[in-house]
Amino acid sequence: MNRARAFASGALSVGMAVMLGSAVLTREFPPFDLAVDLAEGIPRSGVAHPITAVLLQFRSYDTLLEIAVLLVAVVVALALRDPTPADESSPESVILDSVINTPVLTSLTMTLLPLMTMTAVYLLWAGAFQPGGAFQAGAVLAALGVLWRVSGRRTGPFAANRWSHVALLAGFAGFLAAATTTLLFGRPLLAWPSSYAGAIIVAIETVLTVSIGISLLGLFASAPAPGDERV
Amino acid sequence: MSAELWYALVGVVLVAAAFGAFMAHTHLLRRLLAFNIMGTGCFLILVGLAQHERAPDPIPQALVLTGIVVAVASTALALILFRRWFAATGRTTLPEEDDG
Repeated sequence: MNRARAFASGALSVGMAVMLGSAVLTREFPPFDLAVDLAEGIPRSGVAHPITAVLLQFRSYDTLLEIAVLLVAVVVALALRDPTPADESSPESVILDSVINTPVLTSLTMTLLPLMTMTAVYLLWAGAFQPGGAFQAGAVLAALGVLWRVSGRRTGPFAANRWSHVALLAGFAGFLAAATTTLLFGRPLLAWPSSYAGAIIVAIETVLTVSIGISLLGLFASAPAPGDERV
Repeated sequence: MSAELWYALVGVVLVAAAFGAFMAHTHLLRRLLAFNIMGTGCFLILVGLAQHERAPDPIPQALVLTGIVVAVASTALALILFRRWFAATGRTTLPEEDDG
């Protein structure tokens, strides 16, 4: 790193700090309190936890786009996978260079498998009334998938079956289907009817959990193995 | 100084420091790290500022939760791209026009 570059970036950094800091210190307060509006809206949202209500009821458009971004990232990652055709055909030749083959990890994975599955289901269920929800549950599932993969299993998602691709798509497709079905009944996009909102949100969250878990695992699985210098 | 202002100012320092590091370094991993810290600073400002003299506001929290998932996905994608780039060229930086 040369001196001019270091000096320029230091100056820019200080300038950034001054600008952002003054913006934070001299900000204007909004004339309304969104938290109060939200608290009034909770009873008709179908869930009891405010963050879940924001994610899947009041600002569900954001969540829909988020799962779309995740899907795009995984599709790009899968497209960038090692193109050697022999690897695609047989489940035996899944890239397993990053496997840690010890009995400790293998037995630990077997012990953790039911526990982590249970934790994920609990987190999903808890999202309705306390912190938790599809993203946390999906992250636990993804961690389980990473353990499973690292411990050398030759089955499971992204080995050789097409089901993982279906599961990848299910979250976005299901959410989009639910979002647009409301249009058929003359309601705006994503506006669930109050009486069914709870059930719809639980259904979407369940599909999202599987999809998010598989997507994060897919990002992990499509990274080139360490030491793999093939071009 | 109130607690929420403190969070926001720590976020400002994180963003500014990470911005400087992002400009100063050319190694792709360092840039990715700096970029992630910059994002974390933004999240801290968002969540911190939103609760001035009121109860914590769930709306910025939900937005930040969405942001975290997108940040994780884009970081993973960036790492995959870097690995492919390294495998293809053996370089850890992007070529610069006027590297001097």
